[in-house]
Amino acid sequence: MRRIVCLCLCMLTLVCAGCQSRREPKKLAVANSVLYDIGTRGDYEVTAEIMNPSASQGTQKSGASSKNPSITITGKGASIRDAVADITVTLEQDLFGGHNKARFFSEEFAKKGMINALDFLARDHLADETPYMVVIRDPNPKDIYFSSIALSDMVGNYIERMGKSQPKHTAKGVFVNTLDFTKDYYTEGKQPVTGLIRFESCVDKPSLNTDGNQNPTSTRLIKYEGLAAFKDDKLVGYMDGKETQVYHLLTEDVDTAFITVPMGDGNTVLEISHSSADKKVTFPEGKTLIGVTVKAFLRVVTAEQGIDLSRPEAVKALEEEFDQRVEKQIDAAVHKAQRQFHSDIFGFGAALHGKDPQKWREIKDQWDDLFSSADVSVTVQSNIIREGEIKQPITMEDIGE
Amino acid sequence: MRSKPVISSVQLFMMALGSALVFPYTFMPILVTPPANQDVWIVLLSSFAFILVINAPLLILMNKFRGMDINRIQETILGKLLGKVASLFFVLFFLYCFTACMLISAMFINIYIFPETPIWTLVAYMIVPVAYAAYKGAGPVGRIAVFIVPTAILMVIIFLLAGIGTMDISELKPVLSDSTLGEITQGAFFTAARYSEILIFFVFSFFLHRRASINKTYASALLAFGLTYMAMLIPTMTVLGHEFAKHTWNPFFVFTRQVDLLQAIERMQALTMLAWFPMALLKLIMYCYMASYTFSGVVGVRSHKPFVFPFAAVAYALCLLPIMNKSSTVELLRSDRIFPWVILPVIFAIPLLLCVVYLLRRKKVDLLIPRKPEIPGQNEAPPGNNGA
Amino acid sequence: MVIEPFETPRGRAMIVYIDGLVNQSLVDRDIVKPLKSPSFNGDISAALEAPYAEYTDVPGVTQEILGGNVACFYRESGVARILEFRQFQTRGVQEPDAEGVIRGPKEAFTENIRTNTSLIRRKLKTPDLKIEDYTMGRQSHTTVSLVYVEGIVNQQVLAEIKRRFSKIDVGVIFETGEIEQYIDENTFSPVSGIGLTQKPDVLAQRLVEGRVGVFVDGTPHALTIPSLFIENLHTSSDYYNRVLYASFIRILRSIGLLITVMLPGLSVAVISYHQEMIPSAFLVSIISTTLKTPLPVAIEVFLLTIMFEMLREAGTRLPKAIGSAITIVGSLIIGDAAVNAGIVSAPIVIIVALTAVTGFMVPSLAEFTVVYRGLFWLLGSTMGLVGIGSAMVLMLTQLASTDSFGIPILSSFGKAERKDGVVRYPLWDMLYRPESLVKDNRRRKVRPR
Repeated sequence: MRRIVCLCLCMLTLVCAGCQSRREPKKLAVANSVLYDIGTRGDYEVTAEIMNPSASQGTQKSGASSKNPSITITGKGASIRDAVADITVTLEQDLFGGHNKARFFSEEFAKKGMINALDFLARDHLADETPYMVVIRDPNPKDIYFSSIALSDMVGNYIERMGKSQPKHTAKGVFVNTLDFTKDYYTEGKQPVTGLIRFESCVDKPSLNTDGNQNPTSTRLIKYEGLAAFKDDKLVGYMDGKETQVYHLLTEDVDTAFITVPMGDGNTVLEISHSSADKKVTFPEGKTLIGVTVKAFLRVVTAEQGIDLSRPEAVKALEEEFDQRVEKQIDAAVHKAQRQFHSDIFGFGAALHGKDPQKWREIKDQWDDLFSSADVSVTVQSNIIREGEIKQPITMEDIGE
Repeated sequence: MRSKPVISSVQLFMMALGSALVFPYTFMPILVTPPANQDVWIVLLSSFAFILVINAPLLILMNKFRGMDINRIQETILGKLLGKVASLFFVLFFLYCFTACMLISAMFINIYIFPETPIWTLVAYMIVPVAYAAYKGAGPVGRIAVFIVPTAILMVIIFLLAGIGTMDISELKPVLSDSTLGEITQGAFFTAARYSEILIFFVFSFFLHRRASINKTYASALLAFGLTYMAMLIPTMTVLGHEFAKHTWNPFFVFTRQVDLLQAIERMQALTMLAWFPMALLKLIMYCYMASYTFSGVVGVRSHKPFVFPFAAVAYALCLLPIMNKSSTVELLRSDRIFPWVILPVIFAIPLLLCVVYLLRRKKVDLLIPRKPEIPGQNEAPPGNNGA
Repeated sequence: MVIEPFETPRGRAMIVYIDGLVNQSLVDRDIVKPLKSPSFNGDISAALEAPYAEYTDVPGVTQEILGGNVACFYRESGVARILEFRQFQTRGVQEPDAEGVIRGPKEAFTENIRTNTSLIRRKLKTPDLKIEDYTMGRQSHTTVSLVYVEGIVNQQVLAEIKRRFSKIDVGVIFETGEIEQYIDENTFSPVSGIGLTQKPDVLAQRLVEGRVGVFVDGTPHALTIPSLFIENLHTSSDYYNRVLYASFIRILRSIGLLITVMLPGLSVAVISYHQEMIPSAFLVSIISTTLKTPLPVAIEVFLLTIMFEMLREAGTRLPKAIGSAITIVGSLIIGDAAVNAGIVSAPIVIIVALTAVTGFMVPSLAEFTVVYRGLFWLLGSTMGLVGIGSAMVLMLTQLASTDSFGIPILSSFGKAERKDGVVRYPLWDMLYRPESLVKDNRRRKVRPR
């Protein structure tokens, strides 16, 4: 009996004491995406996009809602944490970062160095490693919150959905989350990259938002294409869509990529369905030679110029043409990383570390210079394995006669 | 429940396994033991040889003195007074482990889940079920283990399967080239020194069903521990990268944040919490019980019950000391500089001493071993049923 | 009471009985007529065609008359002859109201203990089936029967039950529930180690696994002692159905039990403390629906659970014709209106509804469910997942330390018990009786393959 009384007393005291960490869901201000910027006076500016719950409730009951599904608030401070605290000066609910989907960085912030942001984010117990990291290539990065976001309601959700769907259709953009960035930062022999956004205005086209009331004047489109290259944790340059395809090829991360090969009068478009890249670093006669062999398996998507691809000779010719084109493309991209970035974003050093650790230990401190001055040798071996549902091009008539 | 509780071999297996898995779940110390790079899985594999060597003296003692409990074994070998002194060392160790584990678990919760809650509340929420369960005795503890531990293992398997798509095997390369043999041996030794579950066997084998084999249970528990640890280590290293994993306080938990099931069910770290917390409580229950039980044998009281609440109160008070409330203190306590060196004397040095003394006084001691093992209760089990 | 003196050719005789408890025509035919007939020669033992017992003490005769027998006195001898012509109104053998099954016998016990013992005798036609009668209750003199199978039963349990029976000294016993509470050692535990059944085939199965059955005259509910916890998840049709289906349904019941006990607490814990562990879509929905409601989520869950229990209790009190309709319509309309009025939010209603529905899957654990649901809710709403973990350990400890007459109720993991635990192995594979219950005579059958 005494035991039961003791137990009850214990439980009672705990009941009274244990409610400190409770957060009621309706008192939360859920941040969907966060933008990190450096202000004009050199202090940090953090903009949070916060979900507006009454907007989503309204659309269920009444017709169209005139409320914005999200609001944005900017805070300024000497450190990132001060800037976040500054947001709460304007916000009446608890800022909740546990569901953050995307982290945007302005160019200035990225050039100054990302590692401070990463330290803050890694320590904070609500901010985790799953949000995407994206650099916005625009003098006014806050415009992202006033751009058209197609079928989504908030920018963070927009980026997250794009991260799931875009890789299946093209390899021109790269989706890097905070964990990937951190892993690359620590990996010896590979430098990190992030995704890239730029804006494009569409003055003539009507707004793309499905909800007619919302922001009818937004004529800015978001283009998620290309990548931002880093050296250690500082931004050093950008690559466009085609070069990002090379990045995907070399990091063996291709879901789908479309390469156009002009042959004859028209173009043949081939899709890379899967590929592998074998990276080698060798040191013949004191020089550095970076070699990569790409094996690609292709599908024919369009054959405009009327090649009958059911014949092996035609296929062989097409493959060779493809090989040449892609070798040039890879060459150009690697050269750009060498000459402009001086940064090994493709992971050649990591490949050397894996294959010849002894050698890597010797040269790893000079790898950046060795990489920048290395010679590049690219070999592409492609294999057209499928041609789709028709055997001969549609323009061809009188088959088999 | 006046008769002595009987534990089956399955229950003992689960208890040892659950207790052993708490550390990997909580902070995966193997990531920071030398060589602290991508070869730590090799360190894990090689630590098993060390574990067997370090645990050998106690295993020999247990098999030889089957049917006698921990206090009686020591008193028989060393004589009454010295035996009690040796038991006291065990009591102190159990108390240390109890306090340290409680502090580590409370710190984990305070860092990852509830930063605003004061530590005295967290520890109180842990102490109450622990003291209650330890009070109830060995039988209920064994039965609880059979429910809690398989849940945790199931979670490990789920996360392994869910994380397969995100795993990057190249994180494990290059193999063996960045570490020296010396580093690997050192790391294996430290990892082996953390495996203190042999003490669970030492205390609870007294309650084990007469027909069950201690060695078989021990071997299967060790094997299961190795497999599960590997199933936790490899995904964590390959998904997080070993460098980032070293920075985090709880790598496995951070790993479970990254994976999703079928691309639809995200954020499954709640499952980890649900599986981990009862298991941590189970470990605390066992240490609290072992401390009270051994101490009751030292002072000569028949039942362990009077000592459970005092020990729990002492541990609670220790956890509330200001110096204990700093994460740097906890980091020190659980690091390789302190923890293995506290365990080794108790699981290796003292048993080795006992073995040596036994060999010297063999004739006298053999007379004191009872003929039939002292396990009452269970009748003959039917054929084909090996003490389930 | 009817006292009927009459004249026989050889002297005066008298019969005493209680009207309403005897079969009048048989009394006339078998006692009065032979004694009154001219051929009566004074030898009463030959004249009385029915078997009788002889009593010489007044309390014993009184008890027999009160029990419904007829006392026959003849010519001032100090001997009363007691004959049994009992006939009284009682409910016939019907379907059980609470243990319905699709496959399996549909007979249930009745209020008459003789009918009940006859039902169990028909199931186990073995001379080893022993039925021992006790009389309890100073005013009620209720017959209480102990039923067991000699040779299989656990002798320690049997001895303990008999010992506790001998300690019962009360005024009235009407139901096995009272006996259960008098002999139960776990008074304050939500789970008792004593099982209940209304069906003869269930009782027979439990008896051959070494348990002891208790009947009480006047109630159709029989006790089975000891009862392991896992039995609450078993129904008799599990044995009559085939392996896969039976195992699937049992697993479903186990999951249902887990859901009904843990879901309110777990949902409150995650929603109130660990919003980062909810998928984003759910969080949006929860925030937008709880925006207008005035109460915190924990209180909403608590109120709705209490309301549901009240509705359920009210539903059992209503007359059968309108009971189910009102409960369904009431809960639907009230729930919908509450959501529309903004008092509670729709996700919480769904959670509580799921809890309630799964609660009906394991009716014998109603008390257990209510108590532990409350504990999980309490600890989950004050301490999140840490509280849920603590509650889980507390619940498991309490269950693990509950003994039923010396046998722990969570012993379900021995080799034989596993074959009939959460899943059911094929019948031909269940060769041994559970070793926690049965010490001798453990082999059930010979392997037929």
